[in-house]
Amino acid sequence: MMTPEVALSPRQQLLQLWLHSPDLGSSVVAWSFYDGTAAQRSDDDLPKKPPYPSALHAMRDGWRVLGIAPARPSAPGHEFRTSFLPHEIVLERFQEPTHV
Amino acid sequence: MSKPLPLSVTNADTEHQLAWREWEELRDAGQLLDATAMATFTARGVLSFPGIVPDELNRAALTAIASGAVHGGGYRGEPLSEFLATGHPLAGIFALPQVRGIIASLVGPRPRHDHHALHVVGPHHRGAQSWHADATIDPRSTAFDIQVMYFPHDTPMEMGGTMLLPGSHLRQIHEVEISRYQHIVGEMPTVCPAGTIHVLHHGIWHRGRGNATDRQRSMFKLRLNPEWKQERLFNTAGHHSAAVAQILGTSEPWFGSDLRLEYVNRIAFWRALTGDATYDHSLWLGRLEASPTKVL
Repeated sequence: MMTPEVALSPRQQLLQLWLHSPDLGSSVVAWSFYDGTAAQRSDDDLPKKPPYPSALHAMRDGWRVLGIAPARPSAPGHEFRTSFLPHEIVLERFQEPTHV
Repeated sequence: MSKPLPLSVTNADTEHQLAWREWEELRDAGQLLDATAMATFTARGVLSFPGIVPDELNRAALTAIASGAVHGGGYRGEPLSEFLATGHPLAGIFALPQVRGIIASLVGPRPRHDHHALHVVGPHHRGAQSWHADATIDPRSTAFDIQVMYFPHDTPMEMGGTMLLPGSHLRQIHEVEISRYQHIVGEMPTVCPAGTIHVLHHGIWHRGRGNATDRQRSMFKLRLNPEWKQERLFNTAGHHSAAVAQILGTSEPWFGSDLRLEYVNRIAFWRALTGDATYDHSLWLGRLEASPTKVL
């Protein structure tokens, strides 16, 4: 049973962005959003536009940077191998819960 | 009277000769993919054929699905012809000359049946799959499987279908390791009319979507392995054209700074598919190969 203080305390929201390049002002090419204020995950799977044009736009809207993917030189012999999206940035903010 | 076999096939075994005759028949009938279609597959890993299956076969497929006669199976690696000869309710679709031509252009004639599946999503089923690629990480660089997705009924946006990511096929990832992404710019929903077939390179990232309608959604998937080297299996005329270069040099909106690496990988793939080891455009590979041995 949650105490009233816990029930009403701000909850974390996470926004993961993958950018065109390591420049935080470069365009968003992919994203994920995890909402700790909501009781359930969104089941909206329609294609849509990114929530912000860049990470810098998200920061101006109150999102705090939690982490940035490090730069990794390519392994010898695998210079042209592509895999995951490389330029990841994780942001957070705290909001009042939408449910108690 | 049939044409003489080419010298390379004259002394080959019966299976090889049968495969050649089947491919030759499709070639002569103009059913093979042309160079621009194959370049599109090279660049995007997806080819779509809206409404390619006639209504009569779509209706028969829906009846067979409703009766429970269509389900998944395989994983034994038998010839596709052997699998279809068992009287599978959807065999007629894969006997269509255009569909046979598409398959022969990509994985060659008489391919191997990997497995098949019937994906059914009930009415008002919310919740999508995570992004994934099928099977495991696959280090093959030029050989590839295809996955044929057949949609027997109209599939509007609200019905979901499958979300595909064109251009993702050359990336080395393992299954749901890509579930960290929820949305990717350029993702492609398979919104399509009845009788549509999408053909995917095995590496394509995808996820099944929910179904917001009051109707059941069905999709039949067939995975095929090649039995022959995937070189010059399509109509290669014009493989060096400006149109091909433009297709191979067209980015996907999510590539970001990997764009030029993708170009290099596409050109290497195109060289393998065409058998033209000198193919290049914009010197993406030629520049890297400029290591002269001549001493001045």
